Amino acid sequence: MEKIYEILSKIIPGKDYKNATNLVDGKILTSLNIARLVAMLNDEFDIEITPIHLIPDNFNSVESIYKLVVSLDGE
Amino acid sequence: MPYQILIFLGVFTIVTTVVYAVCPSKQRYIALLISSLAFYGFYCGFGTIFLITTVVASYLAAIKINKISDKYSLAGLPKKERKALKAKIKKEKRLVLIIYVIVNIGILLTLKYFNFFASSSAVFLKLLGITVSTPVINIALPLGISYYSLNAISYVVDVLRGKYVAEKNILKTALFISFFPQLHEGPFGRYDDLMPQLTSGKQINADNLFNGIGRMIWGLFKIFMVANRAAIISDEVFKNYTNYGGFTIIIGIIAYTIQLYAEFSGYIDIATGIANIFGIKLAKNFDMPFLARNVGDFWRRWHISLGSWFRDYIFYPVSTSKLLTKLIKNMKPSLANTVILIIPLFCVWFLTGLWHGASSKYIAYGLYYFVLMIIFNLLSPVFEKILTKYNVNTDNKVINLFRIIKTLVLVGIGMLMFRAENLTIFSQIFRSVFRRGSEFQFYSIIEPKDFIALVISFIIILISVIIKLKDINIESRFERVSTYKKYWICFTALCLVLIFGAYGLGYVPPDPIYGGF
Repeated sequence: MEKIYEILSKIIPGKDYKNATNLVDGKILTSLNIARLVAMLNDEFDIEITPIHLIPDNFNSVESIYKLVVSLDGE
Repeated sequence: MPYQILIFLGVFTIVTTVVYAVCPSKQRYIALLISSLAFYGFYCGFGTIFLITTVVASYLAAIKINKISDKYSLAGLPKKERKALKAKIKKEKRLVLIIYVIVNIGILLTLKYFNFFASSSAVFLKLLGITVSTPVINIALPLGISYYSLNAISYVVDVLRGKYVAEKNILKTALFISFFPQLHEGPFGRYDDLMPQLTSGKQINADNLFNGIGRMIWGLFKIFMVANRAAIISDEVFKNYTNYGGFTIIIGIIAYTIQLYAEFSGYIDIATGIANIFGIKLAKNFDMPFLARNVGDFWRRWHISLGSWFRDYIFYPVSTSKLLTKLIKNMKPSLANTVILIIPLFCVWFLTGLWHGASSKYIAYGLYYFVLMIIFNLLSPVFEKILTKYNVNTDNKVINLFRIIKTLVLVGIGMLMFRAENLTIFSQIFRSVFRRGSEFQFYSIIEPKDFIALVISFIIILISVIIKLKDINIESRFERVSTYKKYWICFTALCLVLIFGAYGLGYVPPDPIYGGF
């Protein structure tokens, strides 16, 4: 989870990611910076997030992103 | 022959509806397939061979990709070995995809772009002092090749991504790629959305039949009442642009924008209506594009299915590629954010331009939007900060109206580039906007009765937009009307289009613009 906070803060600094539950719905993450987030997650965790996984539920909070990473790592 | 495609669509819809209705439920998708292939064969003749090649290649590639997955088992392997095996599987699948894309795009590149690239290369070599004669391919572009090729690619890529398993029945794959209503101008469909509908075998019912016919008539209304009349004005202005100045050129651009929207969305309405008859919902392609607040928003509302195709199959793969990730890894965050914006968007808009046609004009058209997108994305945070600093409500009506007008001006320039025969003419017409020309004699170009019909019809389209904005769903209201009333509404609307439509003697039918792609 810490690593995900770090990546998010690199892409858009100065946001309260710990309590955020609407990163996509609240337009903090747009399609453009989600692409960067995906690229960094793929690189950091050696996983492959494809457009199939690009649904708001997977990116609305750090916890949901963490769950996505874990599910892809264990696939 | 003018309106050949509409006549073909009409005849095939009637025949297919009858055959589909009398077929047993399980064989109905075969009726749709035979009809689609017959439609293509009659319309395109020899060109059908390219469609069949794409179908066979897509079917085999998807099956092969699935077989690679089935060949290996990841269960019980330690993490390290599992990762190594996953990488091996991915590599094998990608090899199949590469071969498939070479075959599929190879056909498209050869038929659509060979002459353009050959002549461009010859011009380039001539600049270097080398004169070469270039071969020319003289094969008519098969109907809808730019649409079905991309549809087919999306199917195979999604099988590779694991979104669904490959279709084992080649007839079903063939139907997805060749479904006749969407061959001419789209919209692009997705396999997982369309296939269950195409093969459901639902019987035709009165609701679907009248909803479909109603939507088709709405499409005919847009084409014959609006597009063909707006074309009278835009054709005159753009053919004799050297005679005209500022105001007239702007009228020409507005008329062309109306023409393009009414014609393209009209054909999409017809395709959607035909599919509705069989209980099939095609992808949405328009969502009130001229109310967009920026050019990005415009492309989310205009030709939506093309935009989402490029997002899923160009933008995301490029922006999440290992190459780009490595490139930006050690960059400062601000620079990395800019680079990851520029490179994928460049690929998307360069290819979007090229998709529209094999000429430098279309590439420039794509790159025009690329530049606008970059400027918008870089400047909007700055503007937002300024507006927040001065406590300006960014969602007030005046600011939104300004945004819409600004977007319309930028889109209008894009439309001019799209319409002009080449970039030199575009720049000449663009400069004409800022000079005085001879007076525009409105009624020497368009007869008063045509102008009045155009204005009234356009107002009807505007009213339909206002109704949508008020969250009133006309389609669901129409669905609730009795079959008897539906019949009379459709009959009356068709009669109005047939009586007052701009076609036949005295009208030059414009070519379907998006049908040429």
